[in-house]
Amino acid sequence: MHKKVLNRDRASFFVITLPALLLYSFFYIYSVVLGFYYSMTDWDGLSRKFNFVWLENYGKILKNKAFFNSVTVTFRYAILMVVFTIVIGVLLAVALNSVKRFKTFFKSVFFFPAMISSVAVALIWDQVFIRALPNLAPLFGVANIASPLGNKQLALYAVLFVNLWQSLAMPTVIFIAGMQSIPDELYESAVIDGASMFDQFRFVTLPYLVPTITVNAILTLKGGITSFDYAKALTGGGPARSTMLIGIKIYIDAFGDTPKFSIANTESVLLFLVIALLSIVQLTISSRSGVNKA
Amino acid sequence: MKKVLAMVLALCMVLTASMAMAEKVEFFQQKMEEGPQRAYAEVLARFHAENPDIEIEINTIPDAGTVLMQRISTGDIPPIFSDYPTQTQFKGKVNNGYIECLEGNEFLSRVNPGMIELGKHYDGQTYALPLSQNYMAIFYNIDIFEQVGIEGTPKTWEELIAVCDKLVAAGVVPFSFGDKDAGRVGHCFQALSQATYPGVVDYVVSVVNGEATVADNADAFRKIGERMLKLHEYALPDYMGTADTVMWENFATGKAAMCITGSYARGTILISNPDLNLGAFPIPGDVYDESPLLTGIDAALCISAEATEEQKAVGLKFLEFISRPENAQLWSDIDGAPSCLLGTTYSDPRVAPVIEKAATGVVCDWFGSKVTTQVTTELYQVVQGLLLDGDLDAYIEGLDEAIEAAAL
Repeated sequence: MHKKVLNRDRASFFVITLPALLLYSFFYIYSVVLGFYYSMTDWDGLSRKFNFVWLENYGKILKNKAFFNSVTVTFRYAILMVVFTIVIGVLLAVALNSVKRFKTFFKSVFFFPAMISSVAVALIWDQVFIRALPNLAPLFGVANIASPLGNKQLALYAVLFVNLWQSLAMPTVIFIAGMQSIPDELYESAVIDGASMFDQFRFVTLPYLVPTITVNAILTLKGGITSFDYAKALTGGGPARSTMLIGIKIYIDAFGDTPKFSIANTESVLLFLVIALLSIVQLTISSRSGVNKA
Repeated sequence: MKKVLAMVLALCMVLTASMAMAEKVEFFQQKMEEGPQRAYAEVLARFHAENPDIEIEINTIPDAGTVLMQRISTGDIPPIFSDYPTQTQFKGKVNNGYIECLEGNEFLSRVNPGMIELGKHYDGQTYALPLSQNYMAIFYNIDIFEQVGIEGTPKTWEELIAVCDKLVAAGVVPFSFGDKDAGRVGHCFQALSQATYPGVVDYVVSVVNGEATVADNADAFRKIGERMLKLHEYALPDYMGTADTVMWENFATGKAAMCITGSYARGTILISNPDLNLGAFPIPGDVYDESPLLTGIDAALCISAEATEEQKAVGLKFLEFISRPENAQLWSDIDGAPSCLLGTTYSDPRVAPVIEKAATGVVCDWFGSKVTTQVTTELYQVVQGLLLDGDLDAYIEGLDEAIEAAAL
């Protein structure tokens, strides 16, 4: 009787999850498999016929300088993104957590950018860089302040700044949630032991935040590597390829005027493999540290 | 009961018929500039007045070329769309059977035969109705030129530099550039390079084919690079961070005396400042008679081969309508580019230097007519790098690397 009920429950659960499973299979698994398949063809995205070329595209891409330039730019961007998100996010969370009055107001202010679409944010900042920035020149006693988007050395940082301005809210909220799970007794004990504010942060807050930092780092790293919208709207990959993230390169190769869809798919597959590898490495390392780990 | 049934059936028929009549036919047009957008809207208003039972809806979006390609690859081809028939990407679409052949349609006889010839596919057939001709030129503010005392327009590179020096001496900034977008840098590069070195495109083709390298012909490419840098010495500050719209706005409002751009921007510039005394002259090379004017078919209209018969009929009707001289004239007047249709005039004497140059036959087409978009896109990035660094050696090396990278 008990076994019968168990089976019936299992069947119910299976039926409930079936729509999600089917949708996931179609939109994710099927797409990924199809992507692998097209990466081994010579389909340009336009032709009605194409040939199977096995790993020829992989060989071509691994010798291509433009691809490696994009990979370098993307990794630089993603690593900077992770570092700034964690550092500023934690500091912001500590600051917001220690605010006694108008707590909700301040949290709302910092969360506001997250409510705007990324492309809209990019376009707003584009105008700020082009039109507002030069008008600030007299305040600093200089003749002109050039838009960082036109500077090969600064463009990536400008895109990163806009990205952070908009996307920092979510990691900060996660950090605040992580902090609220730290028992107050630990801080009280630390104070009795004569710990300074920094010591409290270093020896109490930080160890408890490790799992949260891990989650944020993984999410941000993934977001950084697959980033597309901010750079596309702000710079289109320029100037001189300085913000040519791999996402933009894939987009241009796939849907440019003379498309190379199979090449774009090959690039996507390589990106997929890199992200998968990084996630495994990061999860393995971070699971060995933290307050409740050996 | 029978009466009720008959009434319901009749109602269904009326609803179905009205739905069929109200079906909109999409016209996907690729130009984001304000001039052509207004021009199409005006012509379409006339078309709808003459054909109240047909509704054509214009769809204009950013990054239109990419979106169009994406739509074609997913089988969602707009029934009517604009494209560039001399470009290699267009020929690819024709080769794959996505575009309806227009041969046999009477309205093609209204087109300038030279433009028909230019727009023909490899098979000698016409797949797009050429509507307007584009050209790259130096647009200039006639009032500023007159105030500074510059007579006539420069016909050689040396004369152009002399004009720039005179403007600088009078406290006027000669050029407004907008180099934030690599595509705009590329248009300037294409025009200047062909004026400086008329055989440049064929040479690039030979590099693409692996028969030569840019380094083998470094002096010619170095000269082009030097001239790009030289012109930017006369530019408004922060040109690398300036978008094309701001470049046109700066020029239209008199912040600079000249602007190197395509005829596609003429209408937009005049919309920014309708009182602007706007002239244009060809980008000069060393010898006037030997420096070609960069020109090609700009707006051209085509019909999807996969559209329904009804949509094709609507498309042909629209093409016939827009090719009538009075409508083509209206379109050209608003857009600002010379029409490809016979019976139209482009009478603005202020752009006479360009029209005269075109009439000499010393003209050349865009890089895209001979090389792929990947090649031009990569080249543009290198030229953008040159403007940032001013490193001519890296630029020469970069051009070869760019062509190799684009060969993927």
